[in-house]
Amino acid sequence: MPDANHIAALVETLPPTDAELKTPTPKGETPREGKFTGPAPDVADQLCRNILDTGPDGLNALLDMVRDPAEPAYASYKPEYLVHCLTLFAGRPGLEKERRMLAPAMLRRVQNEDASLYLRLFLIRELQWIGDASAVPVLAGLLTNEELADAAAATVVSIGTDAAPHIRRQLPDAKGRVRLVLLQALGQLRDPEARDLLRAALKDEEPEVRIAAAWGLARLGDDGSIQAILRAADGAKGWERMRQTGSALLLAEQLSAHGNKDQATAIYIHLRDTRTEPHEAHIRDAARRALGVRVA
Amino acid sequence: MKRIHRITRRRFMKASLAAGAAFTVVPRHVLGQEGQAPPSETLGGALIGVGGRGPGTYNTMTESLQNAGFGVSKLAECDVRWVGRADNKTRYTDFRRLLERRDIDVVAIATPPHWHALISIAAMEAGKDVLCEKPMTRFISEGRAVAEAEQRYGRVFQIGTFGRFGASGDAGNRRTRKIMTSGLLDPCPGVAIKSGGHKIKEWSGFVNMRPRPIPESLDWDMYCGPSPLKPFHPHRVGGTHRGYWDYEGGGLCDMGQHALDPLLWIWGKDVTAPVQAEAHAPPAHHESCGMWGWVELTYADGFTLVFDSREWGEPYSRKQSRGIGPDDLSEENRAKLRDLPDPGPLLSFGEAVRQRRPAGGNAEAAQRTITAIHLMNLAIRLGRKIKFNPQTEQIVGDDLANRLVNPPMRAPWQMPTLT
Repeated sequence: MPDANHIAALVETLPPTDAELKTPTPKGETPREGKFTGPAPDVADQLCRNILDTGPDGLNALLDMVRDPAEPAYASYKPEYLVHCLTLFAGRPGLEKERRMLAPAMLRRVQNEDASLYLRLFLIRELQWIGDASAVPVLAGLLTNEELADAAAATVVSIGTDAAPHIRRQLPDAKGRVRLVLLQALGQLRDPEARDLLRAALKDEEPEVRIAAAWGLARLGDDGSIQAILRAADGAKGWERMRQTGSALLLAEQLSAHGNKDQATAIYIHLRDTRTEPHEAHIRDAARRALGVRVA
Repeated sequence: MKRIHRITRRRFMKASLAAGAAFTVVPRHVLGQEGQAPPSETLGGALIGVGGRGPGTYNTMTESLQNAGFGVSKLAECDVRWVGRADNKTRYTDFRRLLERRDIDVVAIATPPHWHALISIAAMEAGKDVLCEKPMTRFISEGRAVAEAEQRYGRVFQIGTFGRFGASGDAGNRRTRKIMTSGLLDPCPGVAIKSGGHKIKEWSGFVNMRPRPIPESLDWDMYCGPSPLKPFHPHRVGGTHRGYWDYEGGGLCDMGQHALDPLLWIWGKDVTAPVQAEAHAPPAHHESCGMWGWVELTYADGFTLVFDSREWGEPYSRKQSRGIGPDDLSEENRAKLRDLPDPGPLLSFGEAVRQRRPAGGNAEAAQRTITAIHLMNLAIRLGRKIKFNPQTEQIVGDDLANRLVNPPMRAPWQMPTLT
């Protein structure tokens, strides 16, 4: 079992900040902010090897050293930076064994509700770099936690694999901003099973939810939403009208790309014929260009 | 002031011709005071992001438009540091309210770069033409979305770097571009090396940052926007934001588009992207941009482009700079080259707005430059060689690296694109 002091000694081989190179921070005092220069790549690689060779216990000892800079116990940038060095190292193609050691160790700490919010957020973001489908169920379980939802959603979407069903499962319990985050995640993933959820969200009382829904349906190329999105755009004002109209155009492009030219044409004709005010001339012209009409 | 000159003139002429009416064209100067553009030629201007670069960017936009015969009336400004001071008439904290205005025709964008793509697209969705500060974007797929929006809405977009305009005035540069875009030189033995001037240490971020209270005048949530919401620290705002991956990409993003854009024009690489990026650098910090030694880009035809920082590690020494010229072509291809047209002039922003044609620094060209910059930074951040497909704009053979090409945005912000 690696000695925590051994891990700490490895951490301390990292360079101090430029400010501390000039004037070291006295022991027990808050380390000063500043820039730093990391180690040469070969030195960093050896350091990563040394940490990984200590196995899961060594990794845990390193994770134990990561502190929130807002805490009095914060000592240095070095443990957190070294964790990220490990992420970069283990994320290289061909180092799957190392990645499979590191990612689960991070995930276990994310799952631990006693771990600091800072550490959990940091590791959720590290998993955006090296997490795989096995992390999705755990991260999805955090999607209704307001403090973690944004980071968890970004990581789950980045991993992608098997993400959508887990996100959909969280939706019934989601409210407010969290609900928006989940709907947007489904739109980003182009989840076909989210079609009905997004269609319903087109009529949500929150404009940002309506906007995210139209965007998601456009990305899906949902031909069943054409009229609903056009109604949403026609009935809106200002920013929402701009966004919904933009999603209508995106939908038309997606439909065209998939061979549904008649349906795309219907969208363009509608926008050409309804955007008659001078301030929307560019929309009318966009539709006319798409219909093959030369615009002066 | 509404931009009415195009629409009313077109409608007027159409109606007049239909009616068989004779009409007399009234010269513009009759309609306006001497020395001034007439009201129908005056555009409503706005600035989003009134920090260090903001006023300069707005002035650049205005001068270009004035040189093209337009008047510009500054109607509004927007900055997230104006909480409590915005009147939503001339001063805004929310760019969406500003873009809703129908009297604004042209927008200068000088926010930190993590907002550049979204606000540029939103402005074009709203029918405005855009001059946007560099770097164009924070990650690769954003730039493609901007280029798509430029096409979709028929707007003018100009990136806020102008070196290519000067470069295109040089006969030698034009000759290089002509050779490179002719397809007659493949493989290309050219090597371009830019040494120094990348401001790497200057725009490195801090570590050991203890969170501070958010100033009451700053809408921090809006500032972070599509990027992750992190604890506030003053070093993340106001110029030094350049040192953080959440908002920019260090000196490479700050100075890179200036340095690279003319090079890509000269070498005819503003229509494609590198196929490989490799860096020599310490492992990157996950939050703060830091030091690097050199980055080497390789294009499909063999052209090599290198940024050598001269701020860390040993200088780049793999290759030497090498120009190309007609002597690199066979006699047969030299003859073919002579028959090809020379590179055309680049339109300024004002000329592009006047003629409704792409500006010299349009979104497609800017996307190619910033993609090269982002690939450099990805090679630095990942610590490994990156292979890239210029057609699909995806990293090849490295799925984990590909996650950084199009990372999800923080709700409620979405990238209006199908990718």
